[in-house]
Parts: sequence; structure tokens; C-alpha cells
Amino acid sequence: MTVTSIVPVSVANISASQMSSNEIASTQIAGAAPNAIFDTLLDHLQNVNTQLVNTDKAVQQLASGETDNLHQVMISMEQTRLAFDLVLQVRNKVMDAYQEIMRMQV
Amino acid sequence: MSMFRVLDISSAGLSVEQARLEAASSNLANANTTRSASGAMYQPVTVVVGSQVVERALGMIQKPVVVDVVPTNAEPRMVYEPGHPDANEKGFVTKPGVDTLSTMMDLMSISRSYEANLRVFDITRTLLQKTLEVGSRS
Repeated sequence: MTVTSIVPVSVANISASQMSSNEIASTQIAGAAPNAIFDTLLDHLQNVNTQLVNTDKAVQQLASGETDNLHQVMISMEQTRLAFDLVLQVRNKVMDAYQEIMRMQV
Repeated sequence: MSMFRVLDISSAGLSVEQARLEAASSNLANANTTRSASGAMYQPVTVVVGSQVVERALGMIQKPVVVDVVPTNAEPRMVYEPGHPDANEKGFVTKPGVDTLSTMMDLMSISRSYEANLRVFDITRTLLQKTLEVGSRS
């Protein structure tokens, strides 16, 4: 997950620098980079949401007796929790960085 | 997802142990069955476990998978029970060749294997959780 999360950011940076000349590219990257991070975060949040919905479905199936193995439901619940924790940690890091910048003396 | 690969492998292990448990319980429960659904004798079943290379994993890391559940060729037991509707003319009833003692031993081994797989899952989860805490203690 961490590896895939880095890739879109670098791709965005590369495409931004390829599209325009150096001066414009530098401003674009400066503008684009934080958005790219938020986009990645949103993408991950979307993934986690899908996982949550799937887990919810699995739990419902378990409750109605359609699933026959408990461990797969438990494991998918744990996976969803870990994926959510990861997104939460990324969000915390981004917010920390943002607050650090806001505290800067100008 | 790459970080969940270990969880997938131990999940496969749990599934295999569940199948073995089902086979053992079927054998024990049918130890005194004298006719089966098809009319033939109940044959004790055993689980054939194969392995599968895990996709996108390093090298030859494999996960177990239940290939088939097949009847064994255990000899049926002859129990003297005259008067039983399924008894032959000498008074013997044919019962499935379920070895209750070795099935109980199998149950112990299944239970330990299941626990081992759960332990792997727990350890992996703890490690992942600890990894997510990197940098949050400062």
C-alpha cells in the first residue's frame, strides 16, 4: 500500500514537469504536489470505504448464515481496520505538516 | 495487497484445517452408520491438501489449498448384532472402518495447526500495527 501510494505522487510530478517549461513547471509542481497528496489520500479512503462495504456485506452474510467460514470474515475485518489505520496515519502526518507550516513566523 | 499476503496465507491454512476438521467430524459421526444415502457403505473420508504458489510473492512461497475430499480404502468393521435389520445371516453388521482413536489424534493435530495459523495471523497483525505507529511516539 505504501509503495502504491508513492507512485501516483511521483507520476503527477513527472507529468507536470513534462507538460510545461521549467519556470512554469516549478510553480505547477509547487501548486500540484499537495493536491496530489490529498488525491492519493482520497483514493485510499475510497479503497478503504470499498473494503468497509465489503466487510459489512461479509458480516451480514455471516449473520444470515450464508458464509461458512468465520475466519475469513474476521481476517477481512482486520484487514479493513489496518487499511483504515494506514489512511488515518497518513492523514495525521499531512495535518502535522500543515500545522507546522501554519505555525511558521513570516 | 502486498502487506496482507501473509494474512492470506494463514487464512488459506485456516481453511484447510477447517476442511480437515469437517472430514474428522464426518468420520466420527458416521462411525456407526450402516447404510449411506447412496445405499453403499459409508467410507471414511480424508482431505487431500495441495499447495499453490502465492501470486506476486517472493520466490516459491506457497499457500495450502484443499484439492479434494476422497474416501479412504479402510476395511469395514464387522460387529456382531443379531436382530439388526442390516445384519447378515450370521448376525454380523458391517460398519464403516472408522478408527476412532486415530481420528481423535487427528483432531488434536488439527486443533494445534489451527492455533498455529491463528498465531501467525496475530503476530502479523501486531507487527503491521506497530509499523503504523512509526513516528507517532515523538
